[in-house]
Amino acid sequence: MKKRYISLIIIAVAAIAVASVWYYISNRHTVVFSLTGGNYTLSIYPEGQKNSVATLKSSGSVWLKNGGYSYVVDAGNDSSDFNNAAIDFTIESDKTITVYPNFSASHLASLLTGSEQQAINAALAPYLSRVAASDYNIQSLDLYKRGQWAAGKIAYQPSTQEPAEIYRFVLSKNSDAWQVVIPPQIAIYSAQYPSVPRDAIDDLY
Amino acid sequence: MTNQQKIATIGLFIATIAVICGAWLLFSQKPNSATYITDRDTGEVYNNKVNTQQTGGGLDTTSVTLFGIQKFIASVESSGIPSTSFATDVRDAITKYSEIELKNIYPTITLRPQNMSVTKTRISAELRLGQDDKFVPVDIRIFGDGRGSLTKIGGAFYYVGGLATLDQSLFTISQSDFSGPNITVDSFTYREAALNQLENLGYAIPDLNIKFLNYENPFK
Repeated sequence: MKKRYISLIIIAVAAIAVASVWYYISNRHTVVFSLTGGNYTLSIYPEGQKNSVATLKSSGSVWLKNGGYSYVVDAGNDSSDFNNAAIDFTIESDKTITVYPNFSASHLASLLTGSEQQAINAALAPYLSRVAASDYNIQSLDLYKRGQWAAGKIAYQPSTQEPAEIYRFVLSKNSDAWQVVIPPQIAIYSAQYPSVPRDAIDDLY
Repeated sequence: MTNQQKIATIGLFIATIAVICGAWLLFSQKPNSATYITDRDTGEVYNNKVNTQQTGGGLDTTSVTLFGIQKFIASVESSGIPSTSFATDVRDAITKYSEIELKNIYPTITLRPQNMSVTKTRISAELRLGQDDKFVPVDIRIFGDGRGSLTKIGGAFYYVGGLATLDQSLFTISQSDFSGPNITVDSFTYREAALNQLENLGYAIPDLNIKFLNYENPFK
């Protein structure tokens, strides 16, 4: 009888141990990070915590507990080149995350050279030529992502009796040529342009 | 038969009876759970068979049952916002959200009185989808003393209510489609002011499909 009790206890302990291991494993998943677009280090942080749970210097996989996380790009001495804003992600199953960091605002500003601005103006010319040159001026122009998107505002004021109206536009660069994706207009409906980065449109308002 | 065998036999018998009783209870209660729904947040009861037995704000629609509307109206009215048409807009917004975004997969949606924040210009709350722990935030902007509203549910669903009555001195903002983000601005002088008015309500212009009447884009 005593042996039976001992056997039962051992079986119960073994069952609890198996259940615990199963619970531990089933709540963790493999995340493959594919690091593309330059040399940088990727640090992974659990949601709301300052200490990273993993750091990758090249593509690799991490075994993470289910939950919310963020990753941050650090390019060392070249860190000013990359946008180091935290990118949130959630783990509920195995997944692959391709990291392709955007350039920082300062680096994008440095890419907007005189010749680049001229190329953008040339792409806009068919639209700008429809109004008198004295009636408008380009109020702002900024690059986005890795410099392949440009968005800006035109102040249009045909009469000094009325305040200027603001027209927004977006261009993209394909094969070194700028193309107008959103022609100058007052109100841009983002759902109409799903390929255009939302932050580029939001910054126009 | 030894004592141990007797105990085992009795135990097996009791277990068999328990399984039979459990199965009977499980299947006998199923029709009831489908007929009566008691909302977890409001305690309102919805009876699928006899609609007149609704005890709270459970609102029968052909597709989804909404709970919490009566408590929502009470909260709004206690804040001094006239709720007659405005509450209808919010109810319509949730119904449209259920139809368009959720394809009516949840039989009930509750506008939860818990965590509801109400001011004269803004209401923040959340919806419970079905009776499980699935929540979606709701953000309602109120303007024109309750004559108009913009209801945002989740990340991307917008419902424009009562905008047709929002008249400004130089322009009129109206809704051309009551089930989507389509808005018409009839502008006499300055369209940018109309955009500012919409932005002041707290909504991003790129989320709205705005059409200007009596206007031609000079750059096109």
